[in-house]
Amino acid sequence: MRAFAGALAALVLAAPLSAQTVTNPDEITVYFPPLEGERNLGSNVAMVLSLQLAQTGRQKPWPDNPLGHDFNTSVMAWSDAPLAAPSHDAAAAAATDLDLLAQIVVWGDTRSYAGEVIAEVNVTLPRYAKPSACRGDVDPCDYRAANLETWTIIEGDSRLSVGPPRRRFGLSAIRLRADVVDAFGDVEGLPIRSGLRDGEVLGRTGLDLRFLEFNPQLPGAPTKVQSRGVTGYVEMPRITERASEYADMVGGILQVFRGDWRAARQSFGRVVENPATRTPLRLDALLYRGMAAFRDGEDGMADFEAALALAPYDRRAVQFAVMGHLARGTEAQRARASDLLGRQRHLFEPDDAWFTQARRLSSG
Amino acid sequence: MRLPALLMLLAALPASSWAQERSTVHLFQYGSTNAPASATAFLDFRDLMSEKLPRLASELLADDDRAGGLTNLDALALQPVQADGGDGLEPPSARIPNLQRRRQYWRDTGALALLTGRVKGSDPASLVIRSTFFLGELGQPTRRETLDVELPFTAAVYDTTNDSHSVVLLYALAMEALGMTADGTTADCNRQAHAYFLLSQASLRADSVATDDRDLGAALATIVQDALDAVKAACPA
Repeated sequence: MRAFAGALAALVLAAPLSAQTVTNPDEITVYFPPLEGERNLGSNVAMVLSLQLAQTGRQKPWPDNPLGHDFNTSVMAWSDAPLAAPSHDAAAAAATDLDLLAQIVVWGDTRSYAGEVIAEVNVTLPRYAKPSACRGDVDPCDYRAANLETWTIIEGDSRLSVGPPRRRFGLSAIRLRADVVDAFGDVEGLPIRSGLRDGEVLGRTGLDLRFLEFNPQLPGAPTKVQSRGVTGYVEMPRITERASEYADMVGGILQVFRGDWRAARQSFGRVVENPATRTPLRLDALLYRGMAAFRDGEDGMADFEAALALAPYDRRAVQFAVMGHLARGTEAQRARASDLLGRQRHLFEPDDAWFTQARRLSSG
Repeated sequence: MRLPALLMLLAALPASSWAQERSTVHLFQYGSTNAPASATAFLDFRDLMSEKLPRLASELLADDDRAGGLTNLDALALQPVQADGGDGLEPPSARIPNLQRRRQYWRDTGALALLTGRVKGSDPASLVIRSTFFLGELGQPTRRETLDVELPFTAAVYDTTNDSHSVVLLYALAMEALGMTADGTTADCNRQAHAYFLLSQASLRADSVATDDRDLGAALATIVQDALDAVKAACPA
């Protein structure tokens, strides 16, 4: 699949931007350890977060899919064991366990603050080595073939890449509703009902949960699930009064890992527009959305320029803008990339390998 | 008319005797925390800062290209200053009762910043947390030795409480990374990329603060911009 990414980039350099078929050979795994804090509350909030995320994905666009995209499946993995420590390092270590090999970890804690209960949600994107460079615990690899989250431009024997804008970040704090705190603290698992809206409680969700059908268009977005031997519907509880950017941000990242550029652009667009989004995350969303546009065969330069205006001293914004100029593939754009690099030299280390390579590509 | 949320104290500063990189924030007991609600507020705030500082460092260090040059980030943490012979924190009056003693303590301990403050108000529903950072010589490039951050103690400004305190510490880390001498005339410009990286992160967070508290966000943004100007002046292109 790496060959596909290269072929797309080479085409982008040589010809007008155009969409290409995405056939992702890899499953993407998202891991949800229980949030630290009161046990049932943390587990149930993690379950809701996974439900919200699961509803954002699609394997194949339907009914309109003329290019025959196949983004493969995503796997939601849960555990009843909290992380060894509430840290990004512990999240990355848990993700790289050979029995899991998750690409995204959603973790955090619930805590009291000023008389309310806050859910703090963090995201860790573990770094994996290429299969040829696997060294066990030191440099684990996840054996994926595509690595679509990395944007690579190839020209001749030279290549230039950028990965995700950040691999570790926190989302806006989620102020949990008091009734949710009460209800979630008492019982283990979300109720599985016999009907789409109501019906008797057949059982509760457990770690063997499987999603069978999503109905995001219905009130309560009931999801048909199977768990602990029963099949029924789980309604999406409203855990906070304020619209969180969580599902759109992590959903967008999941879509990037799967190559669903169109859906990713829509997700990041909602993050950008959400008033709850903190500025560092808004910057990330702009960079992701611009990248997704280019890889969807369109021009994402406006997002990169907005990112530079928002964060004129941010090295990542410069990197993505340079990638955008090079992806446009004209001599004039190459000159603009070179000019940008020259003006922002001070943001890079004197011996920065990416900068050196970018300079070479933009001046060649 | 409300008071500015962030106050500045201008001062001439003596030379530093500390050779290692500074990375710990020394936390003293906040004042006016005898009432139960105020004591709880301080504990919640202290828990927030204790967990957030190492996490902030971990997030910044995830950028591989910078990890090698930001070694002090790895040790960024809140260090409670324990009272002699007691269980609680030391009140500032015991060890740093005046500006001279604060400067001496900052020089001798190698702290990144000293954090003092108080919980204002008596109504449990409208408490305010006021934090005072003493940055010592790290404040010299922008002529700010002391910075105050003041916010209501409510869940609604949980993120802003974290972000506003992070801005001040990112500023201090940037000045430390640049290694400006006490007179502010020289800097290690080989490390200017680190300083810009940290100040860019500070700038983004100051912008977030402005969504909840425009005055505080603007004041923090001004500090970051002054620091960026200081870096540019010290390390011209």
